[in-house]
Amino acid sequence: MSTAVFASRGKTPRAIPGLAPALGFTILYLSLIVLIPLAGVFFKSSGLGVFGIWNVITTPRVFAALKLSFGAAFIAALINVVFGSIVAWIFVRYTFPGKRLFDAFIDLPFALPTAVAGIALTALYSPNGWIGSILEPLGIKIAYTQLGVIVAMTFIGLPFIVRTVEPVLREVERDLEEAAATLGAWRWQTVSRVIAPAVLPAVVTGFALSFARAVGEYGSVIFIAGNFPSVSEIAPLLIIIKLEEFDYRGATAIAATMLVISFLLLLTINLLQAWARRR
Amino acid sequence: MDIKIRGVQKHFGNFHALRGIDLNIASGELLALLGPSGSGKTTLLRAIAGLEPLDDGRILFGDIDATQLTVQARRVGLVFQQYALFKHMTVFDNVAFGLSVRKASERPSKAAIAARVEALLALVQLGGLEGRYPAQLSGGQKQRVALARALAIEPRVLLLDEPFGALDAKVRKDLRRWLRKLHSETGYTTIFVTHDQEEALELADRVVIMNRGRIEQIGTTDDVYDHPQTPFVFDFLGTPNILAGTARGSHILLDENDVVLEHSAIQPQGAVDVYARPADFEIVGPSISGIDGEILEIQRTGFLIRLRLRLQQTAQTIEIEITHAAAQKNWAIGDNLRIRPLRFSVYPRAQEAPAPLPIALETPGLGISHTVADHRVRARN
Repeated sequence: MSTAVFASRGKTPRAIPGLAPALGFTILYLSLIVLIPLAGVFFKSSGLGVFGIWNVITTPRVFAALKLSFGAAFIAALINVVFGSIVAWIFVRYTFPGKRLFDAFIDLPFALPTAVAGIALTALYSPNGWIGSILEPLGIKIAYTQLGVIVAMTFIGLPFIVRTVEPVLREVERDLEEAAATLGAWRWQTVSRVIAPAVLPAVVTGFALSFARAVGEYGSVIFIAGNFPSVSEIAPLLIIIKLEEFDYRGATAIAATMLVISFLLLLTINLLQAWARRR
Repeated sequence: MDIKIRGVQKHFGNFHALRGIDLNIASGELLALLGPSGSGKTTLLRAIAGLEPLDDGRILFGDIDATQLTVQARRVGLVFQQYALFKHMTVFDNVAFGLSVRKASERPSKAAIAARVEALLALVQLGGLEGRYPAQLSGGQKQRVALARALAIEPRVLLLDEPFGALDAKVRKDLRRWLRKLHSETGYTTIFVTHDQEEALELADRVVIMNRGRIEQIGTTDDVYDHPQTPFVFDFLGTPNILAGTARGSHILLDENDVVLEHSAIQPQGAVDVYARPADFEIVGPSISGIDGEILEIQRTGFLIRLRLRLQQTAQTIEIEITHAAAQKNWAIGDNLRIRPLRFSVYPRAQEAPAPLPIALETPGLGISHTVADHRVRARN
């Protein structure tokens, strides 16, 4: 029908009809769900001006919180890249009893209320918890430290890596590995030169998703972090604190800063991927 | 390098994929492994490459016991049906891969690798495409890159697994001719797997016909076509007409037709099946003993006339092909003809279906009507 409309206006009919309504719907939907709330954040914080925002985020406490949020998210995403890829590899390549059960466990961090995860992790890693009590004599403290923040962020980010790498890995044909082997490549050469380049884009996507999720994580982290100002206090928590103090501008200033940094990081990753694909 | 295969056995779970394979391949030979799906031909090829560990038996490359060697150390050039090119590498890097993964002491210099890749790409007629990625090549080009990649390591043997299977008919024909030429230029011992009898007969010096994990016959193209040793081979190389008969001495009396055939070679005695190809019949006059049949269908295809006949005595339907020169112009449906097989093979009567035949046959009197499911039997997972 749409093609006919286009044709009657003297435009070239498109092969796939319906661009105008589809685009319109997409923009409307995106506006209602994403763009308008985000614009609100910027609008609210714009009252402070650039210098005002700068003054808020350079106070030692806010700066430390931002540094912790992004730093811990980065480290957690890196940990997930390594172990998530290994998990994906095992799921794709091996069969073992209970595989489907483990497969379902992977998705639990998606579904579990994050507060529940946070409380469970805290109970495990606190100095008198199962794991914490083992690590305590070794001088390793996880609960109520920055390490705890990383642990919680690793927990909630794992499925993102596994679920993005798994289908791509499944697509790497066994033929490719066999071809490499007959050409004389040893296992590690096959992995590093044939398999890894094939799954690298998926790993990067998984990293980006895991990182973004960890930056925005709140529920699970605040239970295990202990929330000592300037030490183990994450930026999203600081936003809540500011709100409770009726410092709306301060809260939105932190929020806007997080948005901008996240957006720039994700954009960089996307551009990197596009560049890698073109090669 | 010559290759000897001795008593090779392979199971996949309950499936007996190779049931004692013995085979000698001469140095420089171009050998075809031909058979229906599930006959074990691909498994045998993969066993030679070292990709399938054997349950029993040995494979020798010259004097080297290849069974003791890893896949990497066997130095075989393997070409896959689906090309298996490394998608993120250029054509150059694909071809250079086998040389570049060698350890530093054995690896040629960068310049030497570049020279070799260039020479190989010229050999496969892809000079100038070094910088392309596999996605930018046609199917025929991809398969030639795969071949160049396999040749780069100077393989002891070149193994091709249905190399033309993914290509369209025209490209397949060109590549076939080209491969034959390449083989005579380079002289690598080459084994290729195919289920296309025409391809095997056209390309290979010798053909190995496999069925259910066994070798049915090994021979030159003429051998297997003119002297098929088993009904399976006869059937696999063309649609036969099967006539029941009884053999005594050098005579065969066809059941219910009172036709006596002479057979010079030593033949099985008693109940037999006479296999004759559609083209191997002649029309005879009423004074000569022959099989009488009524024309059901006349089909003219160029220089051949294909006739479907219902035999008067047995009501069996058979198909024969007569050249224009031997045909009478004004045959019509319903006419009666007397025919006689010129060339045929005689096998002991199968009590039941002896082996699944690849082509469904309409032979009511014999109860053979099988098709082999087109499954690739491989140990995946």
